Amino acid sequence: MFKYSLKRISALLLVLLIVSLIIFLIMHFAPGDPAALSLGITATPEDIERVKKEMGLDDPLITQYIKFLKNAFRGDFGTSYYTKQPVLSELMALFPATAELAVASIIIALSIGIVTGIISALKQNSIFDHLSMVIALLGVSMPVFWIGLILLWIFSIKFGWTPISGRLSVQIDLRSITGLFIFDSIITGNLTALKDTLRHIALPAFTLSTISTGIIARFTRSSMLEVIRQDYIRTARAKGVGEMAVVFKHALKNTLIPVVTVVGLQFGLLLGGAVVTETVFSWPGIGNIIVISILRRDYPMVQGALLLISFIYVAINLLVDISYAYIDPRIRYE
Amino acid sequence: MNKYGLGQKTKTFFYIFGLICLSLFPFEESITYAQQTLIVGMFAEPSRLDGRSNSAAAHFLPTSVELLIWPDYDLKFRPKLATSWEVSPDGKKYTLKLRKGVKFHCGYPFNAEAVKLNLEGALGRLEGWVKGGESGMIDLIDEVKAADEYTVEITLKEPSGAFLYNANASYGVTSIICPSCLKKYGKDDFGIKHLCGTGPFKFGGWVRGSTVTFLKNKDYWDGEPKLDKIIYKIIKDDSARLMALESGEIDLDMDLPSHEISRLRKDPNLDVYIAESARTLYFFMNTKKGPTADKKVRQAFAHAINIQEIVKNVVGDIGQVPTGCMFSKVFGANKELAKFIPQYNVAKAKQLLSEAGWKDAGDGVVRKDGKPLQVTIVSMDHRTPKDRDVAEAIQNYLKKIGVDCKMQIVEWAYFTTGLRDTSFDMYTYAWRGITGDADYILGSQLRAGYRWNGTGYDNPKVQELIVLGRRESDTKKRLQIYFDLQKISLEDAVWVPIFHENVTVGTRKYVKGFKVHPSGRPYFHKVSIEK
Repeated sequence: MFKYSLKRISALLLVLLIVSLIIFLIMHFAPGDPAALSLGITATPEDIERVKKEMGLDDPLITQYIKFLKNAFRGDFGTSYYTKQPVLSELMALFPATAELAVASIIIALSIGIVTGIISALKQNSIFDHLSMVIALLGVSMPVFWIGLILLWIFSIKFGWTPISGRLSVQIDLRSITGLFIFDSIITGNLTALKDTLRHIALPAFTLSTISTGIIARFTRSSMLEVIRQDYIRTARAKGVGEMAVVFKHALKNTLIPVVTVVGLQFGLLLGGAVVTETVFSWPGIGNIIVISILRRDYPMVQGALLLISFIYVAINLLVDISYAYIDPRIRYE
Repeated sequence: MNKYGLGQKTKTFFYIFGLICLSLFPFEESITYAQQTLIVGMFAEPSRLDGRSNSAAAHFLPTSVELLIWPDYDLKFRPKLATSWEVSPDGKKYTLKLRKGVKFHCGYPFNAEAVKLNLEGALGRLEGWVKGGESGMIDLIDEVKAADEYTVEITLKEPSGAFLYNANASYGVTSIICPSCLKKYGKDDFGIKHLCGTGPFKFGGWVRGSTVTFLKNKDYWDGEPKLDKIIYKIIKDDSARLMALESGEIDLDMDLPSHEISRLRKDPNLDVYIAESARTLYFFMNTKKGPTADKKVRQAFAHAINIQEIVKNVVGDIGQVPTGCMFSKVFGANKELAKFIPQYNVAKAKQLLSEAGWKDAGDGVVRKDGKPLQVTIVSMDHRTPKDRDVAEAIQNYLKKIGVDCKMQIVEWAYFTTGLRDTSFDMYTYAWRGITGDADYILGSQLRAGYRWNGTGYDNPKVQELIVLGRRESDTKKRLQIYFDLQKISLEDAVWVPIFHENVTVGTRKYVKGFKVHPSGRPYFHKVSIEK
């Protein structure tokens, strides 16, 4: 297992290197002059050249890339062309919001998706099965921004149950320690903030989870259908084991292997900054800042943000692969 | 253990978990806050709050920092931090008398030395200061002198009738900030972690991606504001921001979607403010490359566009039929110029095309030497209101006169590159006359070789008039110069003004004292909440 993990970590570094190169080249070859874009309309050509030099864009491309890599290894992703703040601190200010939303979404997706998939499999071809699979398909097919706006209209406008935007009501003070508001409000014992944060995260998390829920439900269903037809399940039932125990003690672990793969991929996508959801709900995560930075050609910010997301994506999938060995003892890595 | 195999402990766990979930999710929450707190929904977040900021900062800065001279709601100059000003007979020296007894939010005194530092710093002439992105507006300044504690003398390299307009247009460049705080925080952190000016509200903090807060300045020189706090909430999505206004989550929306205005006007809980702004959307045509290099073709295209129909059916409440090249309150605008805007006339458009050699081959497409007239109109996707919609409308009008017109939607960086390279056949874009003076718009759009002149236009007479208009101090002469300049540009059909944009702001009924400024910038000094 140790050797396997080491091999995978080396592969992770290689992936990050390739990703960084691709991002670097795409950004630098896309039309648009970052120096000119960062200045106003009355800026002179001399101003633009001066700012270009300050940005380090007058160096050859290979020099710029190597400089970026050297600094990245030391955890220095440079300074944003626009905010003039270190990219890492800018990202760390926004990343907890994305992480919190992603975690909440995946919890919802897992809770609803796995349970729905299990019930659908156990009650195959029932009304519940057909209905849930149609809803799952709708969840995957409907545009996220549309779902978000509809939910806002229903729960925020019509019923007034949830707020429209943000992570926390502006009137509430919360001491931010980790940037994860739910966690921070628990450890600071701020119940008002906890309730408010949960109200704020409910709709965006549910909206973001619709695609994942649909996918997880369908995967769980098909995987469970396969597992419950196995001989050992029939044996367990024949021995008089209760249905819940059959499902949760005997079948679920094997059912989860493909589901865990899907969850890993989905979580990575969620962390990628669900731009549309963040925009609709004004959720201050990194998705929005990535889009804005691309449009502005804020190279350090784009490179830093995408590298961070790539790292997390690959790391999560590594953890998923390692977890297989714990879910299914038959799987062993050299 | 029951038939489902659930133990008592498991059941108990689920019951308690369910109770906790229900108690943590109240369906009604009564959170109260200070009465005089205004929550403003903003469509964009500034990158910084200083001279290197993006345009969004212009909506935040007036809350906390001030200009020397303020263009009022009619774009007329009003004393602000400067109480009076004189121009020397040769038009090169400006003497400003400053307001006495004003302090920055930190207590540092406002005086001539502070103004001198600000202006020289904005020009990039001082270490530790930020050269403003729009410093070109004041680059005519040769020297700034603090003649005494409350008198500033500004000497220009050459006379300029546009100087006062340019010098009081950009909050990011010429608003007066505290030199002491800038030194203390450093130029990279000032404008992010701190802001200090002389305005009615002090900087209260910035949560990235979320809110920017300002607090009452009790010692404000023009009287204590009624509001205790202003919270700008960043809500980029138009629909979400509108819902927040309608639900009362925000008190003011700085940019209402145009198609909702009629409905919102009927809402008894809201006030809708619509006022003409200094921004105009134009249709530009390349004068050097492609089929539009021929003046007759450009004139034909201009006559093919039904501006009244576009404003009525496409633009709606957010715009008005143009009265000239610029919004009427901009210095240099003249409603007499409206008659020089090409009138909708399809027959004339076809005739002009025919005179240019483009004839209908019978299939509805005009051709010359066997080649169809093919052009592309470029637009961005609602970077400014209705830019894309107007481009689509123009595309349809041109098709009706036999032009094979394609459309290309591009993003901002690509757009600016295209302008610089004059590579677009035609494009739509809106320009805001933020200075309140014709020099800004005409100089940026029609000046030969300028990077924002995407048409390649270089009519020598117009170039001469641009320089003359900038230099001339006499008001009457300047007005005549700009009239002639705009008339020629309309006759050359390099651009067609399509609509003067309106600023559309929505507030809850209990927000009192708000007025819309043509620049679109909010001023909250006299605003209060009366619930």
